[in-house]
Amino acid sequence: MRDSHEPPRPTDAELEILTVLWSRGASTVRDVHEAICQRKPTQYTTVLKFMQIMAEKGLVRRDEKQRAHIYEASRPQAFTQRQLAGDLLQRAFGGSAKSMVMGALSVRKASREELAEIRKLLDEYEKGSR
Amino acid sequence: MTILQTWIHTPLAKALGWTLFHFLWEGAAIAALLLIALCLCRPAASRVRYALACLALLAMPVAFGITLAVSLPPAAPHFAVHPNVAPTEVWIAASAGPSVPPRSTLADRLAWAGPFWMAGVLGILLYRIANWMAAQRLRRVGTVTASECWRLRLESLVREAGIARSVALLESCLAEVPMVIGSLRPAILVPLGMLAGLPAEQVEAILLHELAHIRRADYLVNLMQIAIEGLLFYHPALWWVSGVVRAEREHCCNDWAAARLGNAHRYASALATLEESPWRAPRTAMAANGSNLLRRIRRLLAKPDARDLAVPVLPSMLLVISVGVALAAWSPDRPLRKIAKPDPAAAPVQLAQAPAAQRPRLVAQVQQMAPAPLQESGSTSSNDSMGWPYQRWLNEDVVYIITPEERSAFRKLLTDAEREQFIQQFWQRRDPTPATSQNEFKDEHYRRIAYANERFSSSDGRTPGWRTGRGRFYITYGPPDELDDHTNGDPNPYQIWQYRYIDGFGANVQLRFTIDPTGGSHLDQIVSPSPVATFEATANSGKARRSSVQIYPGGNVTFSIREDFSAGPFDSIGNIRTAQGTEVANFMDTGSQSDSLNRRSTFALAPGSYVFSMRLKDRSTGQIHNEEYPFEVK
Repeated sequence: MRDSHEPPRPTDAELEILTVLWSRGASTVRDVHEAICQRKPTQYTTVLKFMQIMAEKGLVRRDEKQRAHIYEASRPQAFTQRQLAGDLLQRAFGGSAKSMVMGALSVRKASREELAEIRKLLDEYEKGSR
Repeated sequence: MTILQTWIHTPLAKALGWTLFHFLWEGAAIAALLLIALCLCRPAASRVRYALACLALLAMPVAFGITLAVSLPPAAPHFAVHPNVAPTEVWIAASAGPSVPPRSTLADRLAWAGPFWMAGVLGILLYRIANWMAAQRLRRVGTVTASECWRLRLESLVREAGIARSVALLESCLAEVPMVIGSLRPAILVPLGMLAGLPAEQVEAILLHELAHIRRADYLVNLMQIAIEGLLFYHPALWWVSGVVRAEREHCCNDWAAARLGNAHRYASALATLEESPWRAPRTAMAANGSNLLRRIRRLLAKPDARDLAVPVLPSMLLVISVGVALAAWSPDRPLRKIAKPDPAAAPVQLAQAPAAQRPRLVAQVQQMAPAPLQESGSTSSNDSMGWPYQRWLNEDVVYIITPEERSAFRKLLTDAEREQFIQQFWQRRDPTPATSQNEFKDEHYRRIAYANERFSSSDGRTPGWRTGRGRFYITYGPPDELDDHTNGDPNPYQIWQYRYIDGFGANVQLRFTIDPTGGSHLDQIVSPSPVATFEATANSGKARRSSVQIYPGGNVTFSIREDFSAGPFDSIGNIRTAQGTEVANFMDTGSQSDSLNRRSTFALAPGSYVFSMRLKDRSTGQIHNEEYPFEVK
């Protein structure tokens, strides 16, 4: 039942469709088209064509039991993320993009000891304020 | 090479060399002034500290420019205008006398610094352009617009923050942390699944932090900062000042967000939970002690930090070294060896190769109430190896009947073989006649799902029957013992379902389902039994808006919101925590009328003590109403 070879690394356009499928769960082409149109106007047939190609490549699975075909990402997000991490462009610049963006957390993650201390601090504060 | 040799004999090359050299002490002096100013103002005054640091950062290229302008040949009569009085005049007097041989040797050597500096600036510029393109790509690739519920929520937050631009909210499968990209058309990127997976209040706290960045135009300031860093990259003092700007900027945003949220502790908890969340899984090697989160949280909770005092030691030493090098080089007897000492600690990006430490998973298992359990798929990145049929089994087939313990056990399984075995045992445990090959429970369960999908699905195909209110009760408790149908001709069609007994609710349960025009349905009211306890939070602004929690005899709890829509938009955020503070359920309602399905949720609580807290906010007046009720489930 399961295909023996892994699906190829998705292109940028394919990744967009996959992201919709990961976030919304199994969806019809119409659902995906609607979600993508929120970002940029796209032809329904373009999305349909892409998703048919993706089904052939094994990037998505098609459930044909119902009248409206339902598509689902064939691999979880983490799998594709690992795949993309191997992408040269991502490797070279993906991490460095962070100097350009702003965010609540720093790029470097807190260590386990630090996290434990943070939790302790929060607990103490809560006790103190009660 | 010949071009270079002719170039370094031009006056410009000499002037540049001198400027680069003199900036060593100029930069050090500016940083020293900043250090003194920072010591004089309170650590809490982040906005003042940020302004001071920005001023110092801006003063550096200005000082560099003035020095270059003054050093250029026809500047001779204007020496007195130079703002840096004493040392500059000494130098001008000295360099104006070309008859002193050692100094001219130094000037010749300094002229060589120019090309190296330019090569460095060019290299950094190219690297930064690549960075910028990567950031733009991050915004474009692998992103999806967030759900309407959250976009509306963000919109109201944007309005409250007084931001005139519209802010896009995108979920990204490549982002590991929430971030802001762009200045004119700013977008907030959050890791895919974070919105559904974190408690609503914590998501809001994070969004507030990102909005603070947008409000303060930090993205643009950061671009300028990066440009200055590129220009004067060789000076450690610059990197220190730049670091101060970055740290104080985050403090400013934290202070603002915590003030908006009204509770520093909750805000700090949100940051901590996000840091522990599975989206933070490092893909590459990480620095062992690289995060500044501990210090930031300590500051938010206003605890004195011993390390704050220790911080200036390193930059002070660097300043002393810089000044020392500059003075030593300037002294006429000694030839210049080193231009500047690179500072490893202040390097822009440093990746220490540390083994990926095992992180404890501290995130509380959050029982998602409002959206149907299908959406949990986003928050289950821990089970990334779980195949699609198993996800579906967990989140659709048995979603209403699997216990929380079974669910977490299933998630921990690693191979498909284990999962198959688990599923087999799952049904076996429920088989009323284990001796026979027939499993009546399983057969009945799948029959109910099929029935619900056939009879209760909405006609527009959006909501499958199993996800509707009636479907949920049908699958969980079977067909009602009595059914009172008011769907024919009634302008507000509804059905009353009566069960003789439901575990968790008690005897003679009557449920009222409202039937939507599309055929979908939701639980509108539990007519009986009466709850043993009801807590209500009411916000008044002429009209009433109430959020309530009802506890039923068997430990079932419902959460509901009643409002008069003409009362205007309200935001309700509520949660139930155990006495130990662990969140077991949360609820959010942004007051849009489209999500009426989410207005009532039912779930079971284990016996114990709990606290229900509710925050109602009138979006038109900004008035906030907080309520907390402790209660017991027996």
